Amino acid sequence: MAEITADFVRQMARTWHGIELDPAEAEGIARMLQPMEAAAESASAHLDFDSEPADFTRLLDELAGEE
Amino acid sequence: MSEAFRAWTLADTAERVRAGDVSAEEVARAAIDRAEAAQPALNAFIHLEAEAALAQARAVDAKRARGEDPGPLAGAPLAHKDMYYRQGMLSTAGSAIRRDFRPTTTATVLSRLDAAGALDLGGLNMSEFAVGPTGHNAHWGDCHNPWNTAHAPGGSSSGSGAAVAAGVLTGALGSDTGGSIRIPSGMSGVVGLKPTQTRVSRSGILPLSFSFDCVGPLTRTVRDTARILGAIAGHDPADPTSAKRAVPDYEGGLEAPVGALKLGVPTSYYYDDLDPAVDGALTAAQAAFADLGVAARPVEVPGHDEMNLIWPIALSAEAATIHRDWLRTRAADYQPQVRRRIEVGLYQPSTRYIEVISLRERYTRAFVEGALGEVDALIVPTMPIPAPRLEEIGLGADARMVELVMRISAMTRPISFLGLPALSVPCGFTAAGLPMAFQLIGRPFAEATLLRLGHAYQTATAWWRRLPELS
Repeated sequence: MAEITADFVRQMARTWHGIELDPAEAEGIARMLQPMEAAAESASAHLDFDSEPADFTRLLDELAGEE
Repeated sequence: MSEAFRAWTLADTAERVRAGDVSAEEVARAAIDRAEAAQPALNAFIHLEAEAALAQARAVDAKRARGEDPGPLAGAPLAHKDMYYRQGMLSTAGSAIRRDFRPTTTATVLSRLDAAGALDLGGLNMSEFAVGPTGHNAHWGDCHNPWNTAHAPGGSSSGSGAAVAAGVLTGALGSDTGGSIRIPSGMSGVVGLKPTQTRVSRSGILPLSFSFDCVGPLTRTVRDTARILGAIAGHDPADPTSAKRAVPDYEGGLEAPVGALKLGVPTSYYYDDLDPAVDGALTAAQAAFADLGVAARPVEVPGHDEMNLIWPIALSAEAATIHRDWLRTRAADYQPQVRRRIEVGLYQPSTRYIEVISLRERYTRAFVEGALGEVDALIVPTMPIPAPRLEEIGLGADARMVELVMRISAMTRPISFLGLPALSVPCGFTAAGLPMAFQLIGRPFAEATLLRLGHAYQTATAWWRRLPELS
C-alpha cells in the first residue's frame, strides 16, 4: 500500500474535519501514522472473520483466576 | 513543612482516627499545612480545597462521637488527579479549556471514598487531559519530583505521585490509560495500581479512551492500596462496563503466604536496553522474592512491539472522537504535544480502529495462556530509566517527543492494551537518589495476588519507609 504522506493528512484534515494543518504539523502526523499503520496492517491479518470488540470483555471473565 | 503525622500511612491514620487517638480535623489541618508548604517546590495541587476537607473531617469526628464507625479510610487525607468530578467543585483536567469547569455530578469512586470516611483535599496536577507521561503542564505549571525537584515526577497523574511520595497525602487516585498511574508511581517512588480494565467504575471522570481508561490508587504502601481498592471496586450501574464480579477482601488477604506462588521473568522486551541501575534494582527485587520462597522462571512475551504500535491507534481514535469539536475550534488552547497525540486519531480509517479493538481478545488470550500460563504474575520494570530531568524533556511536538513518550511508556502500554492488572512497587534508588520500581502483572481480576506479593516484598524491604526532604 502507498505510504501516508503529509499531503494526504492535510487533505483528510480539510475534507473530513474542516481543519487547516500547516505543512510541518501534517508532516509530524504522517510520521507518527506510518509505523502504526504498518503494524496494524500486519496484525489485522490475524483477525478472525467472527471477531468483535465485545469478545474482550467476555474474555476477562473467562481468563480470571480464582481469587 | 509540618512533620505531624507525615510518616503515618493511610492505614495508620485511619486506625488512629477510628480509635480516637487523634481527630480527623487535626489530621486534616496538618495535611493542609503540608500541602501549602510543599506547593512552591512541587506544584502538586491545582486547587486546594481546605474548607471542604475540614468540613469532611468534622463530619468524620462527629460520626465517631455518635459511636458509629467512621469507616476504613476515616480521616485519611487524600486528593485526586484533577479530572474526577465532584458536584460544584472545580475539575480542570489540567487544561486551559476546562479552567473553570464545575461538574453537576460526583464520580462514583469519590462517593465511595466519602462513604469510607476519606478526606478530599482538592485537585492534583496532571498532564493536560491525561495525555503525557512526564508531568509537564504549560497551563498550570510543571509538577516536580519530590526526590529532586529538577526531575520529572511522571505523568499523567503527576500530582498524585508527587504529593503521596512527599508525605503530603496518604493516598490519591490517578487514572491509567497507558501507564498514567504506574509511571508517576515509578518516577516518584510510591505504590500504584492499574486494576483490571472493568474492576473500578469510571463514572464521573474525564474520559480519554473508553477502552483503556482505568481508575486506581497511589499510596506509600501496598496495604493502603488494598484498602482503597476495597473501597472503590465493584459494579456501578452508572458505568455499565464495570464488572459484576464480587470484590474480594484485598486487605484481609495480604498476609497469606506467598511461598507457593511463581513469578515469570520475560526473556525479551521488558529487560532489553535497561538503565544499569534499573537492571540492578530488578535483579535485587527478584532475589528478594526468591528469599521469600517465590520461585521464578523465564517466560516468552511475544507481540509486544506490535502492541506498542497499535495501542495508540485505538487510544487516539477514541480521544479524537471526544475532543473533535475542541480540536476544530480551540486548537490553540492545547499544548502542541498533547494536541498532536490526540489529533492523530482523526486521520485513520474507522476499520483500523475496530480491527485494533477486536485484536485485544486475541492478544490477551495469547498472553494470559502463554506468559501467565504457569506463573501467578510477571515481574518487569515499571520504567526502563529513572526519572529524567524536566529540562531534558521540555517537549515540543517533534519526533524526539514521540521517541521519548514511546520509551518512557514502553513497559506500561502493552499491559493497558491487554486490560490486565499491574501493580507498581518501588524497589530502590539510584546513586543520585531517584526511585526505581517494578511492576507485577497478573491475570484478569488477580489484584489480590498482586497485592499479596507486593505486600510480602514491602514487609521484607524498607524502601517505602523513606520520605524525601523538602524545604
